[in-house]
Amino acid sequence: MMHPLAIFMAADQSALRPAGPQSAHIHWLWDVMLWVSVAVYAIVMIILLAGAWKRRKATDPTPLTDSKLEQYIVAGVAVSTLILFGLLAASVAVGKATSDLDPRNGITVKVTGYQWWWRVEYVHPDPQQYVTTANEIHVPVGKPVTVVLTGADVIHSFWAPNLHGKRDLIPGQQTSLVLRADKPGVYRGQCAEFCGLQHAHMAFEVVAESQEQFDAWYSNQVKEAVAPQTPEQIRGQQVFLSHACVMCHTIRGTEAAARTGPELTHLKSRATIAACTLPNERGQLGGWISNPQSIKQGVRMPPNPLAPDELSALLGYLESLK
Amino acid sequence: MFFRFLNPALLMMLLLASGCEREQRRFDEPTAASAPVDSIRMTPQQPGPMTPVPATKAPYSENAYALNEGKRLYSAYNCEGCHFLGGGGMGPALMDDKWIYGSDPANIFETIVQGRPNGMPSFGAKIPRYQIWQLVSYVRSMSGLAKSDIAPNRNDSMQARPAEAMTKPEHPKQ
Amino acid sequence: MSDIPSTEQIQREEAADFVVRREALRRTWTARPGFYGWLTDTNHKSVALKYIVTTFLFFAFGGVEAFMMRLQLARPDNNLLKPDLYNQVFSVHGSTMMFLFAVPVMLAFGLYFVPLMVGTRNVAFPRLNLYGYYVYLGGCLFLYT
Repeated sequence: MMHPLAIFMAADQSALRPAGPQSAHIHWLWDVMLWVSVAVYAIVMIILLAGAWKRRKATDPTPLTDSKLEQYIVAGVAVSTLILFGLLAASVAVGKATSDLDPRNGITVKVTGYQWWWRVEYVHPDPQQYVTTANEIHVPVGKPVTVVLTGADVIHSFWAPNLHGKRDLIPGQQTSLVLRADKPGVYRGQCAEFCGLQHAHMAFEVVAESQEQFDAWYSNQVKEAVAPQTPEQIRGQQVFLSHACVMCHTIRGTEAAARTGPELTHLKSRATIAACTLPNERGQLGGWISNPQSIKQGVRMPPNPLAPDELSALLGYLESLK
Repeated sequence: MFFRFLNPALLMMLLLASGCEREQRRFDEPTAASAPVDSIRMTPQQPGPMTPVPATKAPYSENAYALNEGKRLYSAYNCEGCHFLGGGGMGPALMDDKWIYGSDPANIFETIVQGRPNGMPSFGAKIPRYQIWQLVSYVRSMSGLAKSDIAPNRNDSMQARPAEAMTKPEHPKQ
Repeated sequence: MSDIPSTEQIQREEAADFVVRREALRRTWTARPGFYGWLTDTNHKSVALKYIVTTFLFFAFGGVEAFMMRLQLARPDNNLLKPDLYNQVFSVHGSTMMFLFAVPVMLAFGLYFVPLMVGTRNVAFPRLNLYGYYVYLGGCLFLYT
């Protein structure tokens, strides 16, 4: 099996390294709770050990007076209650702050959770400018991004810890969150609600880049698929269109227009395949196409036994889809 | 008293080993497993003495997972586009007792693989064999011909028809 | 004058009565002898002990399932349990721990102590109580086959 660290060395995935305002709020709350807990634990341990130490050589058997005991109990309860109410206030404040980001002047991305991949659509009023891709979400740095979430089959959950908390994708309903990436980078997220056999291998990447880079990426994604140039690529396209591929995948610019599986129009522009399970390289892609079940058992894509020259041509074609 | 000391792990293993056809989930089908069927007849009539045609047993007819996969593939591969949810539309109804090209699983298999005149596409090159057998078993369950503990029991979306497990069997009229 | 029983007569009658009553009480409140007696003992403590032993056996099974899961999750991309088997293991682990251990053992401790704390000799419907144990045992075996 491939070593996952090799692919993900570039991608960050941690709630303790916030790259946006909401995750910064959540990180603050985490810190508060951590240090409060540490302090409470330390105080309780000190009191416990002090009590044990003082009573070690108790020569005086008279117990504490009732009023002294009462004072201690009242003090303990009062302090605990105050701390808990303080934490409650902090939680509510952070909850409000994370949902308070102004979505105006931003972009809208519609994410649909499938078993076990993510369909990503950039909502644009002009249908010609509508982009569909899979598992990779590009966002411009510093701009608010409204992510509209829905599930296609079962409940999933969208979680990019560097950017925001978790939000469920529920079939039949739309949930949403607004996030903003303030630092360029690649942030890995994953599904946070058990959704079946390959829940563990259902990840996505949020690529935060400058506005120019984002515009360049977007205008490339809007275009139809690159037409095959070399004879191998032409043959590869024929293989694609004559085999099982067309039953599930779309490549805009060809007659393949099915929406059961991820869109492949700009497959080579993505860094990973199989929902960030494998790097997007020729060998890995070949293995995936031949038998996805041996890599991600239970996925919806069936094995595709192809003759070696057909597979080679197909890979040549898919590699050209930048 | 001694029952308690019968090795529970051994007991569990023995019981698991007996297996259950209904619950098997095979994700990685060997390619040669489901070869096309030969000697299909679309009608029992023949010249000379009438020899009965033995009914074929579809590979997944006893497997609940396969029927559920068939139901998923029925939507995913857009069989609904012509056959709707069994009531038919552009294509003939699949939940009744009329089978133009035969109701035997082998006949249904060949229908899907070869296509049929007047609009049924040929899916032989486009759908793996084992998925076609899953569809065959599901199509038979639409008219109630599958056992009720195997057939699917509910839809993920609103039900436009009774569940396949609750469908009254429509025995094919030849 | 001869109707009034004498003191000795009354004492003899009462003694006989007492023997009969004692025998009846013994038959009600003691278990039958031997293995069959142990199986059919309706004493709440005996039933509670049966529950406790059975629940702890299934606690062990649930623990084995948890251990299998921990082994699978010990390393990334581990292959000990395929995804389908892993799902089955955690489903059975959850059902076992909740329904075959946690709830029955709480009820068992209650069954043992509450009659003692309240001061009764047994719970109401003691035979139904014992029957409940056998239904529980049947359910455990049913889940595990």
